[in-house]
This record gives sequence, C-alpha cells and structure tokens, in this order.
Amino acid sequence: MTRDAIAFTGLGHAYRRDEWIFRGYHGRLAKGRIMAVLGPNGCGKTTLLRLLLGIAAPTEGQVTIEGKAAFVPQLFQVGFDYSVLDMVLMGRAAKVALLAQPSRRDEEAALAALDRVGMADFASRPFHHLSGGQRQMVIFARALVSAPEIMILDEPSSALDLRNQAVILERMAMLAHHDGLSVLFTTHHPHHALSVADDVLLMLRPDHAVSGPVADILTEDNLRQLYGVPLKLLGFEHEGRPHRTLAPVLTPEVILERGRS
Amino acid sequence: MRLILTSVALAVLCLVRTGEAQTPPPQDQRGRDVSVAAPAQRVVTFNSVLWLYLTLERGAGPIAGASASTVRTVSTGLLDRAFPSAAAIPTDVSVDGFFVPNVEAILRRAPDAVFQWVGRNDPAYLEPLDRAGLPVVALRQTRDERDYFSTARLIGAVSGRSARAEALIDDYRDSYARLDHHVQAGLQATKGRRQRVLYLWKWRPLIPIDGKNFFGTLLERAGGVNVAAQLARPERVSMEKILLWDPEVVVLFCCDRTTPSDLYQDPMWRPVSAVRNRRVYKVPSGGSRFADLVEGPLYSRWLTELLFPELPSTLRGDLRQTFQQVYGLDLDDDTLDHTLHMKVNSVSAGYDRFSRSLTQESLRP
Amino acid sequence: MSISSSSLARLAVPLLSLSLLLAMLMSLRIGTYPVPTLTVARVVLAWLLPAGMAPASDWSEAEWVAVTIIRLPRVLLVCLAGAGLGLAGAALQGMMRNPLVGPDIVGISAGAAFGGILAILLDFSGPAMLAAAFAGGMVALALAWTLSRLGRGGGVLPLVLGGIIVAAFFTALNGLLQYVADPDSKLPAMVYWLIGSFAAASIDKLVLVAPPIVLAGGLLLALRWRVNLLSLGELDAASLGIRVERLRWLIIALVAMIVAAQVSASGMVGWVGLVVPHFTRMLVGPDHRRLLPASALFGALFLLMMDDVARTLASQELPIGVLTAVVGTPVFAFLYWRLQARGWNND
Repeated sequence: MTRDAIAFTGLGHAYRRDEWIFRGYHGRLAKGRIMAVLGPNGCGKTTLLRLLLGIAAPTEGQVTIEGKAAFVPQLFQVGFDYSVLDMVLMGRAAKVALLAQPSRRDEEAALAALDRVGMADFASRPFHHLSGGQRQMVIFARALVSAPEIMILDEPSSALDLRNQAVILERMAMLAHHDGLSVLFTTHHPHHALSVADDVLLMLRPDHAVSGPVADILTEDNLRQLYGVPLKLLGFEHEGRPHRTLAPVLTPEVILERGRS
Repeated sequence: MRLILTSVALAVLCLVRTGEAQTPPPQDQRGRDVSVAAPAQRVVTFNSVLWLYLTLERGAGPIAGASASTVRTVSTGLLDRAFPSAAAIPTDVSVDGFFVPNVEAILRRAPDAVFQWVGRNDPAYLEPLDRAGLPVVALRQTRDERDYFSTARLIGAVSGRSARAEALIDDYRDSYARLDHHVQAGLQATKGRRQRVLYLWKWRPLIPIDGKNFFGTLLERAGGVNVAAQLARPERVSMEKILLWDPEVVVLFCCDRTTPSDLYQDPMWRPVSAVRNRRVYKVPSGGSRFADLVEGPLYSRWLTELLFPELPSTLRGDLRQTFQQVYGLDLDDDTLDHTLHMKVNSVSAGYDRFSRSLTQESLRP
Repeated sequence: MSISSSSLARLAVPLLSLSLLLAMLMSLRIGTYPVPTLTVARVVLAWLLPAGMAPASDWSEAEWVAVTIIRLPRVLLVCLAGAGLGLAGAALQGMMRNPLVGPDIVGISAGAAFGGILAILLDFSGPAMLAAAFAGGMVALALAWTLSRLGRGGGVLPLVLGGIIVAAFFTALNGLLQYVADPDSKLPAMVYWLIGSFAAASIDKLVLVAPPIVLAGGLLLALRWRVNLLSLGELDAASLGIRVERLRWLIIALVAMIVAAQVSASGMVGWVGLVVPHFTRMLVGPDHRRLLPASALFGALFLLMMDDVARTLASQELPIGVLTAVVGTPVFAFLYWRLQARGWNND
C-alpha cells in the first residue's frame, strides 16, 4: 500500500492581509516518487517549500508530511568560511542536544555522507573554495547526513552547468529509485521534470495550480500557459529508449512578431 | 513719589556706609577694580561666599540669587537657624546648580554685584557674565589665609560691612594664635614628630586633599603632616598609594555619606595604621562645611585635639562661643553632637573626648 | 588563510590559556605598593596549595592586602569582563552573520549603562542595579534588531545603523539622567559608569558579577556549535531543525546578561567585543566551536594587557574605555581593510 509522503490541501499563504502569494493549492507526493514544482519567478516556490518543511505556518489549508524531511536550499554563500566537513556536520543539528557538541559519531556520519556524494577528499577544504557544483554536492551530503525519508530541494540545478545539472538529476533519481526516498524539487527547467520526475505541480496562477503525473500535466498547453512562450514537446528514441523533451518554438520571425504585439 | 523717597533713603544709606569703606577702590582676585556702589542692594553669588555674605550682612536681604548647591548647604545646616530666609533665595541664576551662570536670569535681577569663582580658568564661568556687562567680582580658589581675608574684605566693601569683616579677621587670627600655642605644646610632647594625616575628600573614587589645597595647609597648621602634599591638584589615587603613605589619621569630608565604619569594614584598608588604631574621623559639618573664616579655626582645633589627646579639649565650648558671638545662636548639646558627628565617629578611638559629659570633666581641673 | 584544522588553530587554545595565566601572574606584580616578585609568588602559592604545603607567611599585611585584596579581584574581574566581551562579540557576530557588530555597536552597552544609571538615580544597588543594567541592554538590543528588520534589504548595514541609532538614543537619555541627578551624591557614580575603568574593582564587585558572567558565558560556550547553525541564515538553519527564533533570543539574553554584568563592574568598555573575535578568527578560523573559547581567552588576555597599561602608563590611572577605543579602532580599521581586500562573503 502506498501512502503519501507529502499531501497538502487548500494551501494558501499571505504575508499581509489579503495579499495572497498563492491560495487553494492541492498536491500529493507518493512515497518513493519524485515531484517537480514548476512556476515562474516570484510565484512563491520557496514559500511553498517553507510551508511543506513546517518552517512557516500556512495562512490557510493543511500540510501533512510523513517521515523526516531534509532540505537542500538554493546554492548560497555562507558568511563564515567553514570547512566542508563543518558544513556537512550541521546536517546533524536535530540529532545533537541543545547544549551539546557533535560527537565523533556525528563526524563519522558526515564523512560517510560526503563519501556517498563522492566528496570525501574535500572534507577539510574551505567551503568557499569549491565550485558551484561541488558546493551543491556538499549541501546534498548535508541533507543526507540526517538520514531523511523525504528530500526537498530548492532549484538544485539552476546555477549549474550542464554536466553538474546531470549529476544532480542522477543523484535525485538514485535517491528515489534506489534508496526509496521521496523527493520534491523546484526547477526552472521543464526538461528536468520530464527526465526524472514522476509527478509535477504547475503553479499556473496564484489561485490555480495543477498537479498529477508528468504525462498528464506537462502538456504543451499547460506549459505555454505557464511560461507564455510557444513551445513543442518532442518524443524520440535514443539507444532503444523513449525520451521526451521540449523546445521553445522561437525563430527570429516569431521573436520579431512577439516583440511587435 | 515713592521712587524719590526710596532714592533719598538709599543716598542717605550710602553716605552712612561709605564712611566704613576703604578709600582705594578694592580689586577682585583677578586684579580688576571692583566698581560696585556700596552697599549693594542686590547681589548674586555662585561660590561659597554665600555664607560669608550672610554672616557679614546678618541676613539674606540683598541676596537676589545664589547657586543651588550653596543654598542647599545653608538651608540644610546650622546656618539655617541663623538665616531661615536663605532657603528662599532663588537658585535659577545657575544652570547646573554650581558655577555655570544663567545670564538672562541674572540680568533680570539687575544685580549690583555678581560673585563668581574663576574656576580652573573655565571660560564658561566668567566670560558670559563679562560679556553681558554685569558687575563681576571674581574670586579664586583659596590658596592661603590671605585669600580668606581678601574675600572677606571684598564682601565687606561690596556690602558696606567692612568693619565686621575686619572684626572676623581679627577673631580668626586670635584663634590661630591660641591654637599655634597648643600645637607647640603638643609637638613638644611628641618630640616634634608630626603624625601623617590623610584628608580624604572622596572615598569612592579615592581623592585626597592635595598639597595645594588650603585644607591641607590648615591640616599642617593643626600639627599634622599631609601625606598627599606631593599632589598638586585634586586627583584620584590608587589604594596602593594609600598603603604606601600609611596615614596614622584619616579625616573624611564632612558632608557626604562616607563614615569611618566604611573604612573599617573595607578589607583593603585593614593594613592602614589609621584603621588599625581606629583613628578615622569625619569632619564636623558646622554651618559652612567647617571651613572659611568663621569655621576654619574650629576645624583646626578639632584636628589638633584629635592629634594630641593630652591637650585639654575646648572644642565644644569654642563652637558654642563662636556661634553665639557670630550668629547669636545658642547651640544645645544635641545640636553640638549632631554637628560633631558624634554618632558615626563614636566607633573611632578617642572621639569620646568631644562627648558632652567628658568635656565638662576635662574642663573641671 | 587559516582553516580550522591547521596546527596553529589547534594550538591556539592551549597557547592562549598559557599566555593568559602568565599575564595574570605578571599583573599581580604591577602596582604602586612595592611587593617583591618572590613574595607575590609565595602569596599566590599560599592561595593555591593546601594549608600543609603552603609557604610560611613571612609577608607584611600590607603586601598581602596589595596582592590578594587589591590586585587579585581586579585581575579576575578584568579577565572575566574581557572573556565575557570576547564571547559576547563572537556569538553576536556569528548569530547576526555580520562581522561588523559588537555589543557596543548594536547599542547593548549604552542600554546597559542607561539601566545602571537609572538604577543609581532610583537608589538601587547590588543585584537590583545589575538587573536594571540587564533590562536596559536587552531593550537596546531588541530595538536595534527590530530597526534593522524594518529595512527590507537585510545584511550588514541596517543592523549597524539600527545600533547607531539606538546607542545614540540611549546616550542622549544618559545625558538627560545625569542632568537631573544630584551632583554631589549620584553624578560621580554615573560618570564612572560611562567612562569605563576597573579602578573600583573589589571582592564585592567580583562576587556580584562573576555568577552572571560565568553562567551566561558557560551557556554560550555550550551553545557554540549552534552559533555555526545560526550563521547559515534563518531559512537554512530552520530547515536543519533549529528553532531559530527561540535560539536567537536565548543568545541575545545571554549576551545582554554578560554585557550588563561587565558594564556594572567597569562601565562602558568599547571595541573589545568587536575586535577580539575578529582577531581570534584570523587565528583559529571561523568554526565557532573553536572560536568562542578562543575569543574568551583572547578577550581576557587583551583586556588584562589594556588594564595593565591603564594602571601604569601615567601617575593617575587612565580610563580603560579610552584605551580600548584608541587601540581598537585602528586595529578594526586594519581588519576591515583586509576583509574588504579579500572580499567578505556576506548575505
């Protein structure tokens, strides 16, 4: 029997009275599956994640979350120049008592998590000296070190080059399909959703979101509505496997036409 | 009509009083001529001349304003009995309660003289008064008894009470002549050795009476030696410095909350001779902080009698006599006890010589 | 660039401890009253060793009082205050992710001084005065924090500006209180609070301020790893399972407690809480697990040196607050320049 890792109904959030970021959102993430959240800039993706993580309380609606969740924030800089190991160790926060310091066991867990993402050699290096992709991996390891059942990632691939994007997607797929975690991530790249996600949530308008299996939701219509750009979904075969991707239908003529109107 | 009458009366008064005044125009203590028509009708005072002015004038009549701190000293001490009206003297003439003048308030009173302290060349004290064209009488910090005399004469000249000023000066000299005699006798008994005395102006922080201060001079005149004589100005000293000085007697400023017990209870003071022998004394309050022309000799007398216990004690009698003579006040035993701080000083060695019963006994032979 | 695993960082805490111990012994030797070094050593041994092994007491009472009653409480008080300021500064900088803050810059010191001065005016003393100083420090810090949050941008500048506004406001209030105070009995005590000096150190003061500084300092030390977590920022720290707001206020309260105790022991002593953590960070790296204890040790060492200079430079003692500012500001300017040159990563 499959149960939901995350389910939310009638979810809405307003920072000020009647200034809704979004309202009336529904969605569910089944255990062991991957859900992508797509929406234009400023539509409240990060706010949605805060509500799902329980960091902020929703103005209305309900969130139920089953299992321990870990969070991978957007690629960020830290005010202090901590070492990679120090950064990963912080993932153990919930396991260390308020007035205690992390133990040797916590440190071993951190090293193991670094090893899992292939960053063990960087343990004593300053976090700031790493490349964007390496930093993302360290933050990934930091999430893993708390032994989560659910991973929530905020635009894990947006600041990375193609190679590192692929590494991240691969990690997420492994987490879900090999380790049995439930994964939810936000992204600006619909083709990332097409390649790894099982389900998708499209934040079409502040008062309207649609969610469901990728095949049902990532339609040309919906995507056109979401991004306001003409685009085409393409299916092809590669090495005997079916693939889907999408491309904006933008020729110089189309661009000029759009510019005029 | 009334105006004419008043001016006539004033003119007559002036004629009467100018007879008493000295012929050359007096100079104030920064060397400027004092061009005040004596007797002054309205006077503003800033420093401790207030009580001497009251004393010479025998009333608060001409005082049109004074700094709050001096009015407080008068109205909370013995002088309140002699000059009950002094409590009502307006104090808005100073901005800070001390020496910073409120020029507009002073101008409003149109004073004939403004007595101001020169301070430590602080321009905020004198300059605003000079700029406003007020008749300033500047007084400097008392360095020796000649400053006492010159202050008394200045007040005498301005108030038209020069004869009284001279009488007070004579009394002062007589008192010290008697005291010097006693100190010589006392020093003979100690083979000329003077005891080390610390006059503590403030306890926290530790600020002693320095070598340039007139209180220090009076201390030496009473037969002691000022351990802080090497200091040239009032400054904070460390406790270790006091350990080094090791005073045999400590006297405390009359008019704050510090008492001998404070020092006895402070572990830092334990090795100090004065504390070991319980010879810490609080200076009596008197009417004017036991200083100046009238009470200065009493302060010295008090200290001499503490330094030389074998001398007969006349202090209680001297106090009574001085207050009777100068202010016409009869001080009862309770008042004397209060003025001498009998209660807080009772924990110290030898202070019982000032108690009402013992004094009478010592007078008996 | 120093990182936490370098050998210097590892050696910093034992080295700082040793230097502090030596500096304390040396400071016991400094004073107007002449006490031979050997006698100082013997007196200290008599304190440390059990009665049977202690050296014979062949010193004079004045020597004993100079070393144990005058100098020892002062040395301990200075060390406690310095350690407290170092800790408070390091914790604040970490928590606010902001290298430019310190207890004086964000207004705590002025607020605590206001509380203390108000207490003098109302004739409070002892623990009540300490409580008033604590309340003043808390209010000031809360105000600065709130002001900085009004600015939408976040980051370094709003907090520094908020602190300047709050400090200026409390400084103005302090002036007002001085003006209405009785100049004979209360004003000198108030001025003392504002200048900053350990000249009035005594056993009584030590007994009054040691418990809050030791308690709050101990708790801050226990929370040192949590400061790492807070330094990540609100969202990130919260996502790691930290109750950010609660932890922040706990640290604010502890910092205010330390600063209030320090201010009531020695008046306002600026710049220590700002410069010391900076310097220590260069020594041991950014990990607060090591930075906080090292800052405490270095703060104690720094303030003790400053106090020794204050005691010996002139015949009359200098106010230590003036000295720390004279030394602190150029050092801070230098550090600021270095950080600018290197590119400080912040927010």
